[in-house]
Amino acid sequence: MRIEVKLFASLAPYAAHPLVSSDGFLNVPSPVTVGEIADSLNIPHHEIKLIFINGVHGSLDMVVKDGDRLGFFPPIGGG
Amino acid sequence: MMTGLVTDIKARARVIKNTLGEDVMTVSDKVIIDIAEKNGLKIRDVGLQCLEQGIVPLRYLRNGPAIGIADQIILARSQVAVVGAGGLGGHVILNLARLGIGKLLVFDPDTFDETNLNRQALCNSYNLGVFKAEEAALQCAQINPLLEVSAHVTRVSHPGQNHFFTGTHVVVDALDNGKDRLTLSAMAGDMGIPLVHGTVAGFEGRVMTVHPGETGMESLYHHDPEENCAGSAESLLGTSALAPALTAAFQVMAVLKILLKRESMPSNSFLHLDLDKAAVHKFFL
Repeated sequence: MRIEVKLFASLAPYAAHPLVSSDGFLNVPSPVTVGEIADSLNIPHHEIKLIFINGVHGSLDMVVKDGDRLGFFPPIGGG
Repeated sequence: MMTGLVTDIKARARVIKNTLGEDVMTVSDKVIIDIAEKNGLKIRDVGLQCLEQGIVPLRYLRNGPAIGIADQIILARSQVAVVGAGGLGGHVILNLARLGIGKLLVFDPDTFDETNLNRQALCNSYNLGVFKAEEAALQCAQINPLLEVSAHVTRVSHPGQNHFFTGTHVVVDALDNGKDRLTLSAMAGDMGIPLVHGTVAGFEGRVMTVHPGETGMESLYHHDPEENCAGSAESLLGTSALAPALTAAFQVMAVLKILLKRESMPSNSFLHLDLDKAAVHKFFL
């Protein structure tokens, strides 16, 4: 199945992974969790502060569906 | 006395055309200040009296019609507290001053240093070492003498300081760490005051409105409020001038929406702003 991945701020370099297309899509086996997708992109879990699935707050253990949009944020605190 | 004041203001007002070609009664700052001094009144009060008589200070003429005279009166009667006068706070304060928020409270314990010059709107080569809050008050007075601005060289860090916000309509979070943000959000909640959060890293920023009783700040920062260094995006990416300018503009728009009772951001949501990708995303917590 195909999902969209958005990696924000300091996580953006992980989108350069060969599994991720230039427009931010990723083909993954089903079923798969958010955490397994993070693992496949080599994103250390401690670097992830917030996860969103289709714009709604999610977590690493949630299962992803075909067509879902995933958003990963690092901690951001600058002012 | 008040009748005489109104007569004096009207006698010295001038009709000019606005950008729509309509006649508008206007008055200059010079006249407002002169009338205030002559009558022993606060400049802010005379400015407000002008607006209430339908006479627009020239400095606000181009705010309309997006911000009409009724809105301008609300802004002139409003009090906004800005906590942090650095990257975000500098732009927030300057924008609020130009918009005509009647009373600004500025809180920051720090002084300007050279590493602030790349992004902090209030900082320049001539005011290094000056307290940020005091510089904010000085620049606001130069930009808009119709306002009252109070500078507080203080870190806002515990609920014993709730009284700082008495009479405040909106609190702006322009801080730089999670711990103080959690404290500030709790304080604003205790006082029943809406808070507008902003933060930046690299070319990105985030804005969120927190109404009393909402837990948006806890959702963003509760696990590790101390994280303010190594792993945080602003440390890994730095922050240039652009993200604070953009994010602060969104924060001030959120303040306007609250004060003018226009449709605000949905509860427990935030906007993520990405200058590099020219994108704005909305997320729900």
